[in-house]
Amino acid sequence: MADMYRQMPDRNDQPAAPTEAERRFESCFRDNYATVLAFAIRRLPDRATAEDAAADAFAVAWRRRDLIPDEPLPWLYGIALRVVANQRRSGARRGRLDDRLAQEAGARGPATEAFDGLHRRDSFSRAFRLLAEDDREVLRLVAWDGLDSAEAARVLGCSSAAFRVRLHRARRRLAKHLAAGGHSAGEEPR
Amino acid sequence: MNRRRQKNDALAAMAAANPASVAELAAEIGEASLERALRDSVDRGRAPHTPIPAGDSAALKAGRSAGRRLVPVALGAAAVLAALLIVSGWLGGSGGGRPEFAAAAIRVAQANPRLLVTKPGWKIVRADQFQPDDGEVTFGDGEHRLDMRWYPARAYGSYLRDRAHVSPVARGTLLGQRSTTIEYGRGEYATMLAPQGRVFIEVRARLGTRAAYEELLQSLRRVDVETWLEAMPPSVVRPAARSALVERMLRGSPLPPGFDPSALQDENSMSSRTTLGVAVANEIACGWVESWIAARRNGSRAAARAAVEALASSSRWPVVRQTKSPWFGNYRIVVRQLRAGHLDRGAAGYEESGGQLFARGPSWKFALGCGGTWRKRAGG
Repeated sequence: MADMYRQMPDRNDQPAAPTEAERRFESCFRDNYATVLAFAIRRLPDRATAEDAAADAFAVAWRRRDLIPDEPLPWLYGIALRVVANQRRSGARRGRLDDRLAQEAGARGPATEAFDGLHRRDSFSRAFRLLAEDDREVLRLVAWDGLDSAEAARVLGCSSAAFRVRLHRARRRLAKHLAAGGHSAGEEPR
Repeated sequence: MNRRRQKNDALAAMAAANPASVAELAAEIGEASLERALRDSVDRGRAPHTPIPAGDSAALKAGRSAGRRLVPVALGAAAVLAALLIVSGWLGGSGGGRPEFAAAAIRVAQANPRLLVTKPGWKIVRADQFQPDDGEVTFGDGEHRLDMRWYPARAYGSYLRDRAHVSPVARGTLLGQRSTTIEYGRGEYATMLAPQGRVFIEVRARLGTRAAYEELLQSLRRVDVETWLEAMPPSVVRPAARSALVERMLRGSPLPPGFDPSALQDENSMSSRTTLGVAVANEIACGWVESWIAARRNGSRAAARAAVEALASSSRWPVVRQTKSPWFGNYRIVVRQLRAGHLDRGAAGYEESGGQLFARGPSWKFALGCGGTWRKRAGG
């Protein structure tokens, strides 16, 4: 695999990487690709967009390969989170563009939106959608990505204490919305 | 009420709704796919001018050095299909004449500051998507590239604040407007111009030195509407060439019964070749799914099977092979649904608008970029 790196012309911006950094990146990629892809799928509308985001996240990791930490996951999630946010903005922008131009052209135009990876679980999904995006992200990091408060705090760039407060509030608000929507998880326990 | 229990249950409900399992993904991704993905990432990472949307401020705050970068107009799923990029008409005279652009394209151009790099050897090499207050073009000279993006003017303040985290800012004047320049390191700089009209512009390039960057910026010139539109690269399919190109793109692919390419060949449209390629493939794919639906309705198992097999063969369609786009990964999802006999007609997702929650679907049409989607009020 090391050959792969050397076949590519090294242009004016990338000093040759130390072999150790290349190996480190490759190992990081193999160990974490599925995890980062899952992270993106949980936040983006479809598999192809998620694969694109995962590729971008690792492209950044490649550029920072000399900085890959021993436990790369919270670091990779931090990168992936920004990539996903940009993908969403980009998707929403294109959705608007498409709708408008399709109208103007009088043509059929496939609309696109920056949807979340959460589909079709209607009662839960409705409650989840009523949360602010900040709340949703806090919950995703814990419930879907399996991070503890300290790791999730690193991803979001806040203190562990601040994250715990945010998590507490987000859970409370989700429970409230679930209860209002008749979801069993939001109902008062028997 | 036992609040603690309620909150735990809410988190449990959240966990149960997890849309992606790492274990399942890891099992699904074969070695060949992993290799491709690895090469793709390294390739993107090494491409010196590929914008990578990696403002990993979290990494920065975690004590790691990292740069900030804006989202690319990657040819990703939501991206490519967003499709009709410049809507124009070609009203040239009998001798071919000069192009006159339709109202939509002119509106985009009029709203845009219309800056071109005029240094010899530089031209627009990529122009995938436009709208009046949001879009980008890339200039190149064969070796270097400069990305120029425009954003809504209202975003200027927050944008500047965000970029101020990257490096100390240098303020100046460019083309008579206030400008702010930041440095990303290793000879890469970005400059934001104060808003003009509805938009503000950011240019970004890695030219090795500040002097080289400044020199290129000094070659920026404002041009008129027609000059700006005519500077679009050859990859943007001109209306007059569109019909023949669509015909070529369709060759070699199995076409569904009753397939009508006329909407694709509409010569009032103008788009990049990649965008057109995806639109052509989507039209075929959508037609096959419609054919599958009709076959199921009519009880024709053979026709349903033929539709599934046709869509399953998409990786061999010339138009798919020649139009490299991650969008086509969506086709696999729909093929799996057809093989299981269950087409996902549910909501593809939700959006908020005016404080209301709306569902949009059906899911399969979003996956293939088909027309005829719906939007329904949800929630409440």
